[in-house]
Amino acid sequence: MPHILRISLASKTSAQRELKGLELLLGGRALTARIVQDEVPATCNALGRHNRLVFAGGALAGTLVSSVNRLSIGAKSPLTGGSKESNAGGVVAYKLGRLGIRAVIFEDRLSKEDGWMVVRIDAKGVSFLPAADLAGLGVYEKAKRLFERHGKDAGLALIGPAGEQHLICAGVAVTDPEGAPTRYSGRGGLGAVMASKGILAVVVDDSQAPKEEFADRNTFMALQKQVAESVNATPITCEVFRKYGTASMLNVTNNVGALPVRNFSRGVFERAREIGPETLHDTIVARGGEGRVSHACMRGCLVQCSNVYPDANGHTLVTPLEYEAIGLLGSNCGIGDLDDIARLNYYCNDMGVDTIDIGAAIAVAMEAGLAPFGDVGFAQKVITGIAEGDILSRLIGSGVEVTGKVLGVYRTPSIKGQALAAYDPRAIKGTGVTYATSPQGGDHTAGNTPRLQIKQHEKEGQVGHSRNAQQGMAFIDSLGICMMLGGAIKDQNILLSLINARFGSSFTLDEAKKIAMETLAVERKFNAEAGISTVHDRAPEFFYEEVNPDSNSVFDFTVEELASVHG
Amino acid sequence: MDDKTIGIHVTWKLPWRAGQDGEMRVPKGRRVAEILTLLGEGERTEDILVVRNQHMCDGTEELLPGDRLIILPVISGG
Repeated sequence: MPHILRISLASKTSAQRELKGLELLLGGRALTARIVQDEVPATCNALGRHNRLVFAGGALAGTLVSSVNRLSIGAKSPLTGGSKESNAGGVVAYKLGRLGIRAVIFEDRLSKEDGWMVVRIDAKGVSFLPAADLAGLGVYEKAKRLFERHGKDAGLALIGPAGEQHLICAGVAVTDPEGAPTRYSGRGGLGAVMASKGILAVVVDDSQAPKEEFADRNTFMALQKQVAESVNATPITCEVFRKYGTASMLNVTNNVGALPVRNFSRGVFERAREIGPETLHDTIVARGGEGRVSHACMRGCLVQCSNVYPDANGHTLVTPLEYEAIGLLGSNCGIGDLDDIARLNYYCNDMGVDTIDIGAAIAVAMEAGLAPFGDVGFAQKVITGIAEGDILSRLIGSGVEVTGKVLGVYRTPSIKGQALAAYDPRAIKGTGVTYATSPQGGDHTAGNTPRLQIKQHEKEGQVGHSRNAQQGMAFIDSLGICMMLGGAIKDQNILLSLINARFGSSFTLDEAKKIAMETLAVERKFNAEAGISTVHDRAPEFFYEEVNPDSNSVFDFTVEELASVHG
Repeated sequence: MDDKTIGIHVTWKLPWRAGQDGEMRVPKGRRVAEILTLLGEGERTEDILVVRNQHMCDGTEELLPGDRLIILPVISGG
């Protein structure tokens, strides 16, 4: 049966506890939120020893069902000050699942005398390895050296120079099946939390994992096949994502005036065609070489919305190149060339920072007059300058809200300290309501609504749409599955049937949904105790006052309307 | 020109309809929600969005001459 692995860093010891009863259904965000709520003093310093860092997979992690191996990382966020969960693909959740580990809790911190360390988890247990020689290296070089030491089949979760410097936009990189360290739990500064514990990387080796005994293997395999057939029969998963990836979202946002352009000053980008999904696809195909229009970031994933973007010689420039990076590092900075955006994305990955917050912060710096919009050289310099600890780079690496305050920029697109993603809240108002009211801060993955055939720029019904989306995403995140699978799952009962066939349980969809609802409540309770209340459920003032000229709308929700989202 | 149809412009962003953009005539008095059936995509309405004149609509609006429609796939993530 799966268990929780608790690693006490101060004593360098570990212990495990088996999950029982309804706990077996807890995974992903449901687990990280509860552990943070139960074990972290809400008013503690997020970079101090009282915080916890939690890794958690879902109840299906470790199997080859499509898209079920997301890794949730949770902690009190140094960026938002509240409960944070940010999830990524890659192989770590799969490997933890194969080892029977549903979650890992890192508590306290390594001593200063220990110096930087790597924590290795395998079938024999937990070990702590000195890693001072890796400090200061970029994420790619760190990963290369770790693979040399631990073998190419290891799974890595690691941080870059941004994390080491405790920059509050530092993320945690997770390696994909080919070993690329580029699947990011990017949001909320969790890389800084990992660094504050003294950990440069977590290595997970499942090579000696025992073969799993399923309660009902035949039923499980039949259901797994059913999910695969559904993915292969659903247009969005089998045709759109595999051809265009998440970049296909740009055609939606740019056509409804919701693509962030030059620090959210417009919603339609004059160079959208150059950075859009068709150009992305055609460029990858034309250049060939290592380029791939579709790619699985997790074992068993059939959606394959990831890609490998090559340079003109066919060598990998970055993997993946996705919508949020194109929107924030591209159009939002006035940059309209995919090669430029891909390079900036690569540098963000190497420094270990969140592309969303960094793209937003660079655009705010451009608005402050530090460089003109479209200045790729400036963007590159401030990102790569993190490696040297350049002060402007450290400012940008601290995210858009800090950057806006230091540079005196009124138009700073952040909520609860975190940058908005690539959806203008005036043009896609349901997502705007989610930004304002989610316990996660400005985060589209907490409840995105552009998938609805509704009047996106009008106010009517959007509170309800956001509420439904937030509850739906809490459900998906609590099962540790990828939101890209959502369109292919017409009956969510199949997910519960898979879990029951794996563990011999009899969980119901209602129980899973209740857990998801409670997860939102748990996060909000923690936030309230940390001093984040409904007073903070607001969009930045300029979104209420400035008309987005391309959607011809403002963000116009009252305090009472926003307060009604979570009742 | 007949008086039973209207001219609209359709841009396809569905991979399986690539290259089929252009002007077309549809029966007068139809609503946006009906357009997918008229265009042969009636079985996939849950997977498709229609943007009308740069705004997402809810489908109840009547199609008017000169309308510019963009037909997009539903994207579940981002």
